[in-house]
Amino acid sequence: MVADILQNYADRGVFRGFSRGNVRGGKATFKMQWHRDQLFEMILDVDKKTMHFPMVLPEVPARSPMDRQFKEFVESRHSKELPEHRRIDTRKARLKAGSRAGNTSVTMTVKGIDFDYGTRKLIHAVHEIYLTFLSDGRYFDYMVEVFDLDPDRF
Amino acid sequence: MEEKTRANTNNDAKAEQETRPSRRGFLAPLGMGAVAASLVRPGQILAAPNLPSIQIPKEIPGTLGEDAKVGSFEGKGMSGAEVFAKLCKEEDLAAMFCCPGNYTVINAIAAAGIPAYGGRTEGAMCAAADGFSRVTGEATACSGTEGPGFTHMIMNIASANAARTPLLVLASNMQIAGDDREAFIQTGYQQPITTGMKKYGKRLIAPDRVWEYGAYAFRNMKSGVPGPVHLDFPGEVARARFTDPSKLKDFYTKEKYRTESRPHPSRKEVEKAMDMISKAERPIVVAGQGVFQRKAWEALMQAAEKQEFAVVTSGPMRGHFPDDHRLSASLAPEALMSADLVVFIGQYSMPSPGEYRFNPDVKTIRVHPVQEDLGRNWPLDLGIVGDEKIFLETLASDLPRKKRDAWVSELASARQKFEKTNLDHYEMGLKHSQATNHIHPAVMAKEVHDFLYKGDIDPKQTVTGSGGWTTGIFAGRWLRANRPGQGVACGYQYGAIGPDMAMMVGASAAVQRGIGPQAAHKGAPVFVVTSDAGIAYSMFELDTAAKYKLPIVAVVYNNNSWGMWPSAVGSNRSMHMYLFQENLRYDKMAEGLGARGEYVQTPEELRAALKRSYQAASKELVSSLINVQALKEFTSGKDYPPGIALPPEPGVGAFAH
Repeated sequence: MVADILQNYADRGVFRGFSRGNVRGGKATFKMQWHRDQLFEMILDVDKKTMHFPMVLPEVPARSPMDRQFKEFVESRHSKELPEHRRIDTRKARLKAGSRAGNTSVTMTVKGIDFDYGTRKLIHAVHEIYLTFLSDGRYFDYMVEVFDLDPDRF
Repeated sequence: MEEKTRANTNNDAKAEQETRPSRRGFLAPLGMGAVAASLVRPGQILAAPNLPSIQIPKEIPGTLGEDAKVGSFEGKGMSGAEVFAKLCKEEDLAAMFCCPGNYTVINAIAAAGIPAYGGRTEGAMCAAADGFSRVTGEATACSGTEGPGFTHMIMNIASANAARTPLLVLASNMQIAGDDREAFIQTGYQQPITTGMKKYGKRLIAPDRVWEYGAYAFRNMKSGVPGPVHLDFPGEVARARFTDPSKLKDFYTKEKYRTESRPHPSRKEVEKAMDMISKAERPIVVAGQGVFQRKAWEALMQAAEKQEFAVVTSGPMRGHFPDDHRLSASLAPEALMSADLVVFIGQYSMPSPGEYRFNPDVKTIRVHPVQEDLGRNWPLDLGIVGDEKIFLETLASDLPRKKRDAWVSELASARQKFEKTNLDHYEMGLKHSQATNHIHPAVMAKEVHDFLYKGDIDPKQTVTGSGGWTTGIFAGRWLRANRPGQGVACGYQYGAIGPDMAMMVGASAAVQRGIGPQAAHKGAPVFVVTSDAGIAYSMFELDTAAKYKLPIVAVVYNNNSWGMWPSAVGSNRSMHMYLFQENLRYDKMAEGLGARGEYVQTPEELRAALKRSYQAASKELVSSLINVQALKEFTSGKDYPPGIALPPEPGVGAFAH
């Protein structure tokens, strides 16, 4: 089911490239070419009911202001201040930010068996990290340094 | 309208002669304080004893006031240029902007009575024609001489192409008889140079087909998705003589060589679209430039209000759905992600998913006048070949009424949030401004906003354009478009830095003439907010603005650098390439060109300068340049938050699509 949902996103042009990994021991790795032409990996662990992006934003030092703000943004995806259709219902799934080897990561843990819900909300969250979180002026220097942002590649 | 314009021009000429000050009168007001200074006429600042002052020569108003003279087959007959000009006149070519060169053609077009403007560089005149078209939707021409004049236009032809402007690019091109001989100077093959930046182009080589290819030009500009058309005229064509119309091939009226027929979407597809819209909880229409070009804004408004769908505008011009309308999402980027259905109508430059802030599950309908573009970049749930206006009129007529209180409320909350973010940025910028005695771009942008939309001026009146990197991004968040043709995204899609001032010369010409959607605000000043990097490309057109009495207020953000200077941080031997001399005085340069100059370092000074400049523009038709002194470091979010917040797309401030 997760693979089908991701494939559907690829078919809809959300990902520019996509490959399904083999499922072994309840684990599968999916690769997608997505924001800023990066190759993202998503690891599904059916037994643990998790879906994990080990790298969402590269080169964000742990415990830096940006890392802290990233975690706040991820947490805010559950907030009741968001319209119901936008928020992650904590009764169904929980999104958590992490930091590893200088990169930020996110993990979605599904409660129950609603992987459909969890997958969609996870993809939405990563999408918003790139389109909303990073558009904040505080990260302009980061965009220039890490993503080589310039008007020609905007 | 033409007669009225001509009468006005004559009056202008008389008024100019009556009010032109003597040298003694010139010097008198100097030193009489701010109020008196506001009445100083351009040129006075630089006037000094024994030096001649800046003046508009009497030949300018004099020749502008002359009667039109269309060529005739009688007597010596018509030149090829006059035949072409006749066709341009019959096609209602809205205006031509040029530099001398291609003499036979530009003279024939001007003589035919088509509004013509001569400026300082061909590139800027090309941008001016583009600007005229962006605020009117009308086909407009630019012209330059062969080789050098033509190649100078390249950046702005490409910019017009990215904006799908119906721009007629004209250039002379020596003689066919001299091809390949490098005879004298300026020979060059033009058409290959515009490959990839035009809709249609042709080197005219058969004099008797000049009318036929003129028809090609207008058929392309006025059908389907518009775009630049490039015609180059060898001397044999422009100077050919015709005493007998039978010598011209396909010499018949426009009703025969093109059609006003438009593609009607099929009933089945429209019904499917209406079903999808009605079933959606949070539908949004992206009203692209096709909605403006097809003058479909009234139908859009009716359909939106009937079904309470949100509307966000896109394209090189803004205002075809008003920013201040309760259903506008142009100032509500936070709500974009909530949309469950997006309907692209007349979106000519198509983004890819991820470039627009829609969620990954959003369903998509696209309505477009030509089939081959449907599905490009953005996979569709429903693609409809159809004219924008016909589609919207059908929606306005046939969509059932529906209330969407929750969606309207979410739009209002998102708009509030956006405006609060802007105010937060302003507050931060104000502190930096006070601490440094230099103006932060957020402060500049808000001051311009408050002056244009919160004071005594009708918020629907003033046409604005913005450009530059830092400047464009900050100004874009604050400039508003509350009626069709009120906003120009000067750097749209192609991202050219610098055509801004020139584009607004064209926009000002359209407003002065009250063309199309500018009719209700005929004669009003226009504003451009641009950068020190950008102004260098077209500042000399302040001379053009002065000589034609096109009042422009140019707010120039002077941060002593190219906006992308942070790209050089950490790179050895690089930063010098990104910096200018500090504290250059663009205001003084403007004075040297016959405009007013203002220099400001504080918000209070900016506020007063805006007022003086607006008065000079509206009462005396005199342009001003306000040099807003800033620091390049303001772009750093670390040292001077908020830093550069990339514009949400689509919506206010968008310039990519």
